[in-house]
Amino acid sequence: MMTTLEALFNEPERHYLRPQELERLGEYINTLPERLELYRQLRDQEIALMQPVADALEKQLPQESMETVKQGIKQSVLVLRYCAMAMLLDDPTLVELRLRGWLPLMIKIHHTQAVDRVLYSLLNNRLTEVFTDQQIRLISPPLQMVQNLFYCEEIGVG
Amino acid sequence: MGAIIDWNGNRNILASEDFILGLLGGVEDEVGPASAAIMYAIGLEWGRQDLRCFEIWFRREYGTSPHQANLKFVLETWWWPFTSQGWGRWRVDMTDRKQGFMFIDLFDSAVARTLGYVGKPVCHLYAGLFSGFFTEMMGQLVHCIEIQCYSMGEPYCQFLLGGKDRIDAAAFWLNEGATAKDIEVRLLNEKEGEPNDDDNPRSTFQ
Amino acid sequence: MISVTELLVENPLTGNYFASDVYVKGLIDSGLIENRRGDRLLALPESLIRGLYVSLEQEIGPAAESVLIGCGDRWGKDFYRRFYSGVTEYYGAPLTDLSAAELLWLLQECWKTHGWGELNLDQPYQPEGVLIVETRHSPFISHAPKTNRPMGFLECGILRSFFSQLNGQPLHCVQTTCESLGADCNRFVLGLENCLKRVEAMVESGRSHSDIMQTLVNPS
Repeated sequence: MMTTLEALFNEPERHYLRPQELERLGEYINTLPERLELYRQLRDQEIALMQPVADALEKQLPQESMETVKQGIKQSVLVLRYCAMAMLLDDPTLVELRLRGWLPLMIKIHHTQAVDRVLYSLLNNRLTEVFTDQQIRLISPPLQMVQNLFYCEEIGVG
Repeated sequence: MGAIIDWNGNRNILASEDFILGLLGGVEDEVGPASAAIMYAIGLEWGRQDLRCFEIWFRREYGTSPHQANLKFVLETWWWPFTSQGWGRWRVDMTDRKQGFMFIDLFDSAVARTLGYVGKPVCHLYAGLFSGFFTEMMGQLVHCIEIQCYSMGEPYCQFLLGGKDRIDAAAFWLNEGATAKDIEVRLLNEKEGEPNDDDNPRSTFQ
Repeated sequence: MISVTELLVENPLTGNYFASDVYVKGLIDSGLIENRRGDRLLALPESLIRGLYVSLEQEIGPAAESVLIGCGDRWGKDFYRRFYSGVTEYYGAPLTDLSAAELLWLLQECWKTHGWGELNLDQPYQPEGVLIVETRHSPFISHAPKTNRPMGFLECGILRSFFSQLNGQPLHCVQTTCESLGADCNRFVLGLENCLKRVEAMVESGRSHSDIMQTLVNPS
């Protein structure tokens, strides 16, 4: 966990933390209350966040099968949970570590590419609507990591 | 690329206890009752090979050879990766080292825990490992025998290390039904009155 | 209308069961490692693998090969059992409900997370009843002594056992290329024993993998 931060704690026998390392640690601690608050909101409002996205998705993609749309929504809820955890720990690589391979596989197997293109755009709009700019800044790095995962696998969402 | 590299730069393979069962079964199929000796031989070579890796990383970490450092420290340092690799904790009793033998207690042996109750010592792989490592480390032949085992219903495993004569004697006593404690008492009685080899602290297993 | 609440109740979310940072757990106080189901794991250091090859060669010579294959066979059988129960429990569905792509991907992740290198399936000969498994960066092979023949005995046993159980019939396995002989990967040919009888002889006579496969699927 906290890969980048955790690396700071690895070698106390070699040297004390350098000023920029302490600064990095301080930055994390300073933003921790905000991270906790955002995490709480994401947790408590999961359904309230996702239901309007699901409703809009159904409206915008009447031609898609119900199963594919449901699968896309399920995947996005999973993605959001990982992003929330990664934001809390300030470790966007958590998203990559856990979803690399798995998410692209699910997208391929369930053919959710077309659904995902619309869904993630709706989700981004929804997040911007609900959260403050500062909160969006905190959750952006893991969300960006998800986009990279899509690009890496040439799924072409985004 | 599917590789696990430990702190010392060595590659590790994760396996369930089934690896131990598989190895025991594979050896037994081939050599039958001699399987204990083969498992010991595997451990022995493992210990030898491990000392080579250990010498490299010990020197890198501490700037000196393990042969020149405090033995107790060296041993704790050597076993630490085994603990973190899931091979169990150990406790080394070097009280009788100068009498020519020492004891190692092993908790949660991967072999015994896997096999469960068997009614006899089963950790030949560990016994070989200790023998191989100590032989290379001390520069003299060190034999090892398991005199108490989790697979005999004991809470932990105990190994005796020493010269060939003592280990042969311990094997005989064990066969006759002696407990680990009986063996320790007999060994101490045997050595009573003989001079200690204080001048050469490394030369301990004669 | 899709209800997100109902969707999550009906289908609990699942991720990568074999994600390395959650699959392996170290209990340093007790000197134990376990997987996410609580099954004990051991980290086999390279010194053990090297020692295994050297000592078996010294002690029993050519019979070392059967010991290693036998070990792999047994290990593979239990590996399949644990793979089956772990995956079934976590995903809430038996292996047979998973698609071939999902199953292969899980096996690949499992292989990597255990530090066994990379695994791939090559299936051009599937209609002929022959499956080719490729492994790369194999730690079982990289510490084996260099000889003039393939050295993946442990993997051979594991794969034979695993795929036999998956297919529900006993399969045979022959290694045709080996990293220890400079090949780009280790290739294991799996199929029914009577199909593969000739493969062993062809490997021993030094024929290439593609040559062997051609002969196997186009017997003249």
